[in-house]
Amino acid sequence: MNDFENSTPVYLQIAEKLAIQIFGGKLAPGTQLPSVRDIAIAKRVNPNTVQKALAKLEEEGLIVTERTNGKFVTNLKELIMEKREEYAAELTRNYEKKMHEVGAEIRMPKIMWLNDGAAEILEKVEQMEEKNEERSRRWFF
Amino acid sequence: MVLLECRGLNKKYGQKQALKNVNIEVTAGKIVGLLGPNGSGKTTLIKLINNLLTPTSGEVLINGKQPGVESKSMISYLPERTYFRRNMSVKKTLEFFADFYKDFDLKRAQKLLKDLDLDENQRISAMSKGMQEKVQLVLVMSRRAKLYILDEPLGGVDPATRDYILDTILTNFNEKASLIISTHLISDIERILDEVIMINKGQVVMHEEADALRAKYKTSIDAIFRKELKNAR
Amino acid sequence: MLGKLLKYDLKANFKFLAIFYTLALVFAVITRILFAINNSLFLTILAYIFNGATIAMIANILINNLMRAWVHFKGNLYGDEGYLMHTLPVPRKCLYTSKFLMGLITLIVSTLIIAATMAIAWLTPESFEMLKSFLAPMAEILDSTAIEIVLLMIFVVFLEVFVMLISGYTGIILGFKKLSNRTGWAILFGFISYIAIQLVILAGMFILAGVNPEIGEPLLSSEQLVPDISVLRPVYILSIVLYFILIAISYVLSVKWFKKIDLD
Repeated sequence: MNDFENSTPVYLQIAEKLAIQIFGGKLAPGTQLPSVRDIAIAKRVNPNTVQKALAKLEEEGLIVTERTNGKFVTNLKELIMEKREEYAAELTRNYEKKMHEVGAEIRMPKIMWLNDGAAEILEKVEQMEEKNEERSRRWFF
Repeated sequence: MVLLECRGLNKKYGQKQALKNVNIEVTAGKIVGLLGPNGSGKTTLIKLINNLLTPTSGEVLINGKQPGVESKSMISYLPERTYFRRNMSVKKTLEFFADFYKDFDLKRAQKLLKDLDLDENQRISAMSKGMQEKVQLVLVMSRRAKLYILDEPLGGVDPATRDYILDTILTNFNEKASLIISTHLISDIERILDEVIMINKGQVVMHEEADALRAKYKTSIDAIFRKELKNAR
Repeated sequence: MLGKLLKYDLKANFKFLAIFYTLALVFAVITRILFAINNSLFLTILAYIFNGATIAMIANILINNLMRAWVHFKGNLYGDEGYLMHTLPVPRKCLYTSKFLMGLITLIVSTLIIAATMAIAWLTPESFEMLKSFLAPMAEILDSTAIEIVLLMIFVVFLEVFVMLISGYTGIILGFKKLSNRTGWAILFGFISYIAIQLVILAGMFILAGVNPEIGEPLLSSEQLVPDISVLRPVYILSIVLYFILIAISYVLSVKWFKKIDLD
C-alpha cells in the first residue's frame, strides 16, 4: 500500500502504474478496468485521485470510456506501442541523466551486443519475431 | 457545490485570538486535510463549524445555511474527546444514535464493531480509552452524512487500526460527501487528501490541492508543512 | 425529538434517585414496624434511630434531586457529553426544555415518594386526627378542608423548590459563558437568579399589602399585631400566580441565553 511517494502527485503515480500494466500487457487491449472506487480502495487512495489518473490516461488515449459499460484499455495497439516508446525514451533519458550525474559511461545496447549472451538474445528475438512480427520490430528498432 | 463556507471567521477568548479572519470553502466530494501544529486553532475551527462555539464575528455556512438542526443532521463529527454516557453499553449507544440520526446505518456499525473486535454488550465505562475511541469512530463513520469532520482520528491508535480507519474512510466515502480530517500526523494521511488547509496561529496560511502542491514544490505535503512552519517562526 | 431526549434524561436521573427512594421507603417501613412492636427499650431506641434515618432520607431525596439535576445539566450539556448532545439534530431549545421537564417530573415523583414515606412511617388514625384538629381553625376561616390546606402548602413548597432547581440551570447557563472559574460563576449566578425571583415575590407581597390593608397593617406596623388568618388566601393565590409567571420568564430567558454557548 505504501508504494507511493509523497513527493510527486499521487495521480501521476497511479497513471504511471496503470500505463506500465498496459504497456507490459498485464492489462491487454480491450480489457475492462475496475471501477474507480475499487481501484481507490485497492490502492488506498482517494477516488478523486484515481479519477484524475484515469482522466490523464484517457487524454493520452490509452483508455477509452464506453458510455454505459465503463472504462476499457484502448484497442489501438499502435497507439499503445507509440506511447510505450515515448515512455521508454523517457526512461532512457532519465537513465542517461543519472549516469551522467555519477560520471559513468552509458552502457545500454552497445554492451548487450558485445556480450557473450548476445547471440542467445538474438535467437530469442528471432523466435519472437515469428510469433509477433510487428511487435518485436517495434521493440528493437 | 459549496458544502462548507467560513466567512471572516474570528474567535476570541478574552484577549486571546484563537482564530483570525478565516475564509474557506469546501466543495462536495473532497477529502480535505486540516493541518496545523497543536494549539494552532484546528479544534476551535471545527467546534465553530459544529456550533459548539459561538463566533466572535464572521459566520459559518453549511450548505448555505447557518449552523442549526439542518446542519447537524448533515454533519457527522468525531471530536477529539470521547463523549459517551459512560454507564451505557455499546448496544445502548447504538440505539441512541439510531434514535436521533435518521442516516445512521445500524448494520454497518455492527459490522465495523465486529471487524474491530469490539463487544456490543460491554459497558463504555469498562472499555479502555483506545477502545472507546474506536467505538466512537465506528458510530461516526456509520452515518450517511454529507460532511464528515474528524478531529485527530489517528491520534492514539495503533498502526493496524490506523490502516483500518483509513480503509473505512475510503470505503465509506462517496462523491457527494466531503470529509475534513484534522491532524498533525500528516505523512500517514497525505496520500488520501484532495486538498490541504494549513493553519497556524489561528490563521489559514495555505489552502490548495494536494497534488498541485506536490507538483509545485516537488516534495511531500509533510515536508512543505514543516518548511512553512519554520518560515512562520 | 423532545420525547426521546426526555426519555434519556429521565433514565439518567431516576437511576440515581431510585437508590434514595428505595432507602427512604425501606426506612419508613422499618420505622413503622418498630414503633408498632415497641416492646423493649432496645427496640424503642432502634425505632427512633430509624425514625431519624427516615427524616434524613426525606431531606436526602430533596437535596439529591436538586444536586443531581444540576450535575446532570452541567455534565450533559457543558461537559464531554455536551459534544454529543449539542451535535444532535435537535433545536437547542429542546435540549433545555427536556432538562426543564426532567426537573419537573423528578420533583413530582420525589414529592410523591416523600409523601408516601411520611404516610408509611407516621400516618395513623390518631396522627391524622391530630393534624386535622390542628388545621381545623384555619380551614374553617378559609372555608376549606384541612386536606386542601395541606395540599396547598405542599404545592407552594414544591414551586419554591422547582424555582431553586431552574435557578440552578440559569446559573449554569450564565456561569459557563465566562472564560474561567465557570463553576464558581455558575453557583453565584444561580444564587442571584434565585434571590431575584424571591425579591420579585416579596415585592408582590408588599404591593398586595399596600392594596389590602388587612395584610398590610400587621406586616408593616411596628406593633406586634397577629394577622387575621383569612389573609392567607390572597397571599397564597398571589404567590402561586407570581411563581408561574416567574417560572415562565426564567424559561424564556434561559432558552435565549442558552442559544449561544462556548464548550470547553
